[in-house]
Amino acid sequence: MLIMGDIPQKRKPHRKEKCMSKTPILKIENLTHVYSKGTPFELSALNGINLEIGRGEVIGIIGHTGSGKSTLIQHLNALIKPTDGKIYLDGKDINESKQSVKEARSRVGLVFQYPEYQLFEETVYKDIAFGPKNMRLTPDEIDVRVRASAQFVGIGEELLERSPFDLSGGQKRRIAIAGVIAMLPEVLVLDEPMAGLDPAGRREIMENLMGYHQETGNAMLIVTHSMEEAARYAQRMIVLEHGRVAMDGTPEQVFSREKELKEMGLAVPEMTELAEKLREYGVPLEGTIYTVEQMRDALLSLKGGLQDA
Amino acid sequence: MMDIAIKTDNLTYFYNVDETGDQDIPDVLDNVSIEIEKGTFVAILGHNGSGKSTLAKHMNALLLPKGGTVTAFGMDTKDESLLLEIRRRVGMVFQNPDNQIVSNVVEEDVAFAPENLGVPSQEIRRRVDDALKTVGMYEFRSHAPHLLSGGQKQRVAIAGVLAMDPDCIVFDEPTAMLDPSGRRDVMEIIHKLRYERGTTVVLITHHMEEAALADRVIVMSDGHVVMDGKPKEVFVRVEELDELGLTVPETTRLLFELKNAGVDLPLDALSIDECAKVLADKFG
Ligand SMILES: Nc1ncnc2c1ncn2[C@@H]1O[C@H](COP(=O)(O)OP(=O)(O)OP(=O)(O)O)[C@@H](O)[C@H]1O
Ligand SMILES: Nc1ncnc2c1ncn2[C@@H]1O[C@H](COP(=O)(O)OP(=O)(O)OP(=O)(O)O)[C@@H](O)[C@H]1O
Ligand SMILES: [Mg+2]
Ligand SMILES: [Mg+2]
Repeated sequence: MLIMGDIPQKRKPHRKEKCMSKTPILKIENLTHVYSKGTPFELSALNGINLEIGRGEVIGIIGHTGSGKSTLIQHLNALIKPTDGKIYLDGKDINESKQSVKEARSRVGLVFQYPEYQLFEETVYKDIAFGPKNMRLTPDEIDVRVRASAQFVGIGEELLERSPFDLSGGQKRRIAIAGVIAMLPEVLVLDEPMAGLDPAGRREIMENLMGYHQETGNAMLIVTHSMEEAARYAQRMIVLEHGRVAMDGTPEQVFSREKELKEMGLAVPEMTELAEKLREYGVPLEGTIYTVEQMRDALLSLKGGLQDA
Repeated sequence: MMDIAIKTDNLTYFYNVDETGDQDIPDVLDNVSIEIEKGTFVAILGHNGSGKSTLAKHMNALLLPKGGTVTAFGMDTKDESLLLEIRRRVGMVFQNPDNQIVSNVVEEDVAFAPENLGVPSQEIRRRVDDALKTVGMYEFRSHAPHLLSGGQKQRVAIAGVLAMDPDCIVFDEPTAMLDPSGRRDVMEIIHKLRYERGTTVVLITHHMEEAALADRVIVMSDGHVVMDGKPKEVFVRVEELDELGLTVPETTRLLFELKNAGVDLPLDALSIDECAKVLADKFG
């Protein structure tokens, strides 16, 4: 398990300082995005989104295919520009000037939905080093970051000199995540980062991301189609539908609206569904259940209760 | 012999990474021998880099064995004169749908394979419309595929292979970018292909719940087949699967944990319904 403290940082962020600050790290104001404007394919992908992202929040973004998730998050580091509305990073409009765009790119790290869009160097090493190099770190600092980031995503040293294009799908995904982690971004935005990862990889990388979050106090936004992961890791969930925020709340609040979620093509975690079925069978389960551990404990406490009686 | 769709016989493969010809590169597939029966639905699991996609690409001669042989419906994939016929009978959905886009318009993209196979144009029209409706992308038929969302691209790629209507379809992680209802749709499509059309289906996936629906599960690790059996036989081997970097469906995981806590339960209640029944018996 990697400790981010091993990685040399330019300016070590002070966690306390950050948590006390009241201004949101990101503010999205009335964001609208229209693709192919003025053509027969004009498509309004985002319709007046308003959101505030607090420092230190871990947010899961869910929504059906085409609901606007990728469009939304690509605005957060000025990769695409609003048709209307504004994005503020630390209170500053990110699209105000070339300088502010550049700043957003270095402070907000974005992992793309398809890692292929992000890989372009001849070797895995150079690919992961690309961000840190742009930040003008010394070669020694870069080297430490590349190796630590590779370890973070479970990529062995033997792959560092390979071409990133000659890798398996899951290996490419890992390199793409490593490349962004190597920049130690203040806001980490990941678009379906777990797609294509094997189960052990999913668990390890997710735990490492949570470790990064805990150590730095940095905000993290994760687009996911896994209700289980959203329930397990996010403190707050944002549900998009047709380019609008349909729900915004704790996993508990969101998953209590099962019927609406299903109508949107989404679902509740598998264990929540199982709990529902068991209640129908008359098993008196209490509380909200998302995870296997919660279900196990709820059932065992029930059994204990039965035995005592 | 007649009822085998895909057969690999001591299939060995390595990529030429090293241009100096250094023979140090390990084999990506090492003497893999499997037979996939016609009309069955087989899931392939394995850690990242275990060789699943490499194996899949051998099934329709996108890659040719460096050792051993692969036959598709009795045809040796090394026989160039059979290439077209092999591609006609074995269709594939790639892991990354971008690698599959060949046209600027969704419906042309979906029509591409059947056109190449010489299907009559009226028949193509029908197949393309059907396929796009099946994956819920009909309303996007005149859009540009490269400008779609991740999940939409994945759906179009699936439509492409459906329009081809091959005897065997190899799906390489087709649901990786899909929302829960999209994942369910794909599993329904696979069910229909297998039970209504008799199509042989090979599904590579990292989702254990999907593999649980297959007739058979093959588990790969470092270029070897390490497990092979019915889902209920494979998924009860919880600890071994964990060691291979894999996992089991959440239902099995729960039953396993309860068992470890001293509750006597069968591990092979894979579906939510089965699992609920078993638990209701114990705790109800
Ligand atoms: N570059 C583009 N040009 C035109 N339309 C686009 C473009 N990118 C996305 N769209 C459209 O905008 C809508 C929102 O797409 P977006 O990629 O944001 O969805 P998403 O929520 O990320 O979906 P998924 O879960 O499938 O990745 C979709 O209908 C899509 O077809
Ligand atoms: N084009 C290539 N050139 C060189 N090596 C490759 C190439 N494609 C894959 N490999 C290597 O071959 C091995 C097997 O890759 P493969 O793509 O078959 O794995 P996989 O099981 O499909 O993994 P994943 O779950 O990540 O998709 C990996 O170690 C990978 O690095
Ligand atoms: Mg997307
Ligand atoms: Mg693969």
